[in-house]
Amino acid sequence: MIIAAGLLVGFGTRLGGGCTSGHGICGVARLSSRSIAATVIFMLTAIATVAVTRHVLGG
Amino acid sequence: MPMIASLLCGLIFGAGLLISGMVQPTKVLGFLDIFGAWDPSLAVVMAAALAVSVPGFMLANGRSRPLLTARSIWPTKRDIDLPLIVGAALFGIGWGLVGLCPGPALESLATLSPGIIAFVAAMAAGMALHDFWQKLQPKLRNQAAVANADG
Repeated sequence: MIIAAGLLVGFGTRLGGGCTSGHGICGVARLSSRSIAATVIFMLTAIATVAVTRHVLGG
Repeated sequence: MPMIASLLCGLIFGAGLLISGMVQPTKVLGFLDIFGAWDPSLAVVMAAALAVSVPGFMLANGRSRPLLTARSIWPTKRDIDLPLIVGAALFGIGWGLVGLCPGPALESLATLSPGIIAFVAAMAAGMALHDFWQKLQPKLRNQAAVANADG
């Protein structure tokens, strides 16, 4: 699980060009439309992932 | 001098992640768990970070060049393309699985916990895999073009 998550975080940040700090803080602070889109998308998929692992699978 | 500035910025950023609880995966997962026992406190952290960075970037934007280097380097891409969408989505899934994103993961290496070391190693592998895949792509496209030409 840790390995899979690490791979996704590494691959995703490179492909998407940023992470929580890069897009979420610096990009949003610059009002970059790319960063605002990225932040909305990764917040939504992260929330959905937690919802599935905690409440659907009951981990 | 730029080196000292980098060191200071790193120290401030690291201290912020540590004090705010961004380095605690359980706290991050609690923040993302809006359908369960939601802990909204990290939203305050993001808001406070923006309260500092928005005026900071406005100040930087108004200057012709940074204080310590010859020229400003701003991101140039403007379009919301497929790599951005897919990359952000994959990153969000990984973040939601364990509650670690790159900054806090690197900072947590200081704990020498085997789980953190495994995560950072996998993260580096994911980045390397992406770069390898990017290098491979033009080759694949050329091969496809050749195949089409023959057909």
